[in-house]
Amino acid sequence: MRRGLSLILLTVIIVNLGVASVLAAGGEKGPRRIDTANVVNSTDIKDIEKKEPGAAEKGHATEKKGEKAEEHHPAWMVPGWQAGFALLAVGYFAFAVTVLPRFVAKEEH
Amino acid sequence: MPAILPALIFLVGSAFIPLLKGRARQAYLLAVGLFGLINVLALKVQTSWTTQFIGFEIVLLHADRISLFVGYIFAAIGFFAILYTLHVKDTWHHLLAFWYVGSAMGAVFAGDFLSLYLFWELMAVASAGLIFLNRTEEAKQAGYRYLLMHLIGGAVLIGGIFLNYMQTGSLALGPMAAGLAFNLVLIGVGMNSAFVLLHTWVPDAYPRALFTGSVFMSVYTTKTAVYALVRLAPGWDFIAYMGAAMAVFGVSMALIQGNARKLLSYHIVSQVGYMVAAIGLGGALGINAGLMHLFNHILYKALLFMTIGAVIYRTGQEDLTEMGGVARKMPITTAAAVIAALSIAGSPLFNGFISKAMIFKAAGANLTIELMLELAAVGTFLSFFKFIYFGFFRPNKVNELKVTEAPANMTIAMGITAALCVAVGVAPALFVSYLPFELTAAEAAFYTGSKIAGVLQIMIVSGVLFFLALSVFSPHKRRTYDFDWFYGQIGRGLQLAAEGVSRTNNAVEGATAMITPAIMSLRGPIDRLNAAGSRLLFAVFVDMWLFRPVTLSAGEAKDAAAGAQKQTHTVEDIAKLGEKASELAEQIDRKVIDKMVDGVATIGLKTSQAAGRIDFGIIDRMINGFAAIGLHVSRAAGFFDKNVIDGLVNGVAWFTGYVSRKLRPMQTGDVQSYGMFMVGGAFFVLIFFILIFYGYVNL
Repeated sequence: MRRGLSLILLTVIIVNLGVASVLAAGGEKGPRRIDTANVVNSTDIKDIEKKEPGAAEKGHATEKKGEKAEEHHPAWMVPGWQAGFALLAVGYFAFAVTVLPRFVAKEEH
Repeated sequence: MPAILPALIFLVGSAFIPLLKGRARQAYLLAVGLFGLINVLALKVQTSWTTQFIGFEIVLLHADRISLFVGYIFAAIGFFAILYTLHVKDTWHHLLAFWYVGSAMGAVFAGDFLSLYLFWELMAVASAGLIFLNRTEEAKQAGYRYLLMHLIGGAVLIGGIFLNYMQTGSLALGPMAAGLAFNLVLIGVGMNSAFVLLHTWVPDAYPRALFTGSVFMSVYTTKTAVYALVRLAPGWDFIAYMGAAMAVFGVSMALIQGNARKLLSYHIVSQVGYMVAAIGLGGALGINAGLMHLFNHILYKALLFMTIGAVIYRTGQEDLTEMGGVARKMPITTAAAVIAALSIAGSPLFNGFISKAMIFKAAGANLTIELMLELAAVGTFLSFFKFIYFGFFRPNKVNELKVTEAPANMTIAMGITAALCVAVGVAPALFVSYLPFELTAAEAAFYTGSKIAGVLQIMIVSGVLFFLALSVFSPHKRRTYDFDWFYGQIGRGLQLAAEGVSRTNNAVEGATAMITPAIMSLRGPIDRLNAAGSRLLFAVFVDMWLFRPVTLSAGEAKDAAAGAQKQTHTVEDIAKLGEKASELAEQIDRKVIDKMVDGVATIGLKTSQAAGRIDFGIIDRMINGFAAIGLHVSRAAGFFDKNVIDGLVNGVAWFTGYVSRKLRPMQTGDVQSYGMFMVGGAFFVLIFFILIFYGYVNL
């Protein structure tokens, strides 16, 4: 029972993260679908817009996403933020390896 | 060179494996693997091969920049895996491996849904065979679960394909529009891509196959599904978030594993999550990033399974609680494992760094996905510190004394694969130029100060904390449970429900058989009781009517006295009416009540008979049918083995004997004779080259 509940809890957390991020993203991002049926030339990017008119209004040009990416980062992402993030992440994983097995594992001897 | 269907090389090539033994077989296996690789490398964009199948025109070879990019790495790792497993003597292992590689190549080069589906299912059967081949009870059960999940996934996939065909009238592969067909196809592909909740077959089955089988399995099934996602569903938000969830979930579960191959299997879920996230992010950069990670992942994941396989081969251990002490005695294997670990963790100068840099760039506009993937990256570093330290470096005196380096074929295969991991990391431009879409200068700038600094921060912090908290991350001998625990409960629930229905059915049959005679014996007394009751009831009504209280006026009393005679008639009429009512009640009793009783008894009897007919007519026939099919297949296999295989083997032996008998007289022992033969042979070779030179013979 505890095992089942913990797995449900973990799924709920992950799904919530996903849903929350979708909501946070709002209508900013849309389909970034390009036609991958037959890519013959390396520059041959046919947008699926031809098949689904109107999709571009919700989306944005993906080829420029690399350049745009830096602009979207929040202010706290200063150089070196990964070290702080890694510290927190190791804490999370230490917690996970300590707590998770109580629910989803059985010791064998 | 004319285009040859890549799948055919392996599928047809497998037919000759049982005929060969020893060195000849090894040479043949390598030759086919190498030929498969050269054939794919020689394929040109827009090469295609179509044929008719059950009334549909199917495209068995569709070479564009996407299929070629995936085909290159599939063929290359197929060759390395064949080299790694060269020492295996089990014929079935090589047959299944060839079918697996061939069907995966077939799926990648399929140009329509039907071809994709056919190779998809063949891939499931061949890979399940590699699990069964371990021949342990655990492997057998895991193999059945694996096959069941893939057949369910395949059924959902074909449902989506048919629905899509009904809606569009086309079987062409390409991005699908949203709808039920898309959802069904996504579930089918998601099963093979190991979407969270559909992923349980990966950690369940991969560690239970033979270690040589695991090398093949780590490459093809999930990556073919990732390729299908590129073709069918690039740029969907749901897929991007599913990928990020897979990355975090996979690494969280991997960290608590004690079994090395199970740890690696959960990392397949996690790393495939990176690819799925990139494809979900979409656009040219997302697709390029997903495919580049697929390329790199195949190299380092196969290498990880090769290294752990080498350790299993030498020590018989795959539990991290027992392993260690092999670093000095198996230096090549250990070096390859370290290179693979650094690659999967995304360290600079190794291939994982390149594709992860591309994925993070593609995710740049989506902070949630970026942070989830960063979290997974930290977990990956921790996991592989654990894998390398406990699996190879931790002191273990028993292993240090008895272990030797892996056989040559294994070390060569590991060496080449490791070299490729480094080559992609050091010279990425050589490889990214084959990606389907051209990278911009900004996208191709992999080694920037901020990226290297970012990865090093994660690596150093997680490394220092891992060794400071070694006891927290140390492996335990434990059995872990995943969502398949729920599926087991659902299965057990269904089994209990089926047993309950069966028991209820039997009980109803028994009760009907018992109640029917009892009801029949009660019929007489009930009839009589019923008739008596209806008469009594009628009499009471008549009595109540006759002796009802009546208040009369003077005129009415006079009229009543005058009509007394008439009243007598009325009473007689009522009595007659009563008799008729009684008869009517008896008739109702006979025609309605009796028929109802008879009906209930008949229904009981017929239900019982129908259940008997289903049991004897359908269930027994199905069981007998399956048994008959099994018997016929077994007889056919026996016949084939006895008359075809044995015949071929005997025929080859006879032919060899015949030729050697005929050639024996040529062994004169006379030097002049041998000299004559040599001069004659040289003369013919010379003539042959002259003919080629002057264009009389075209090769």
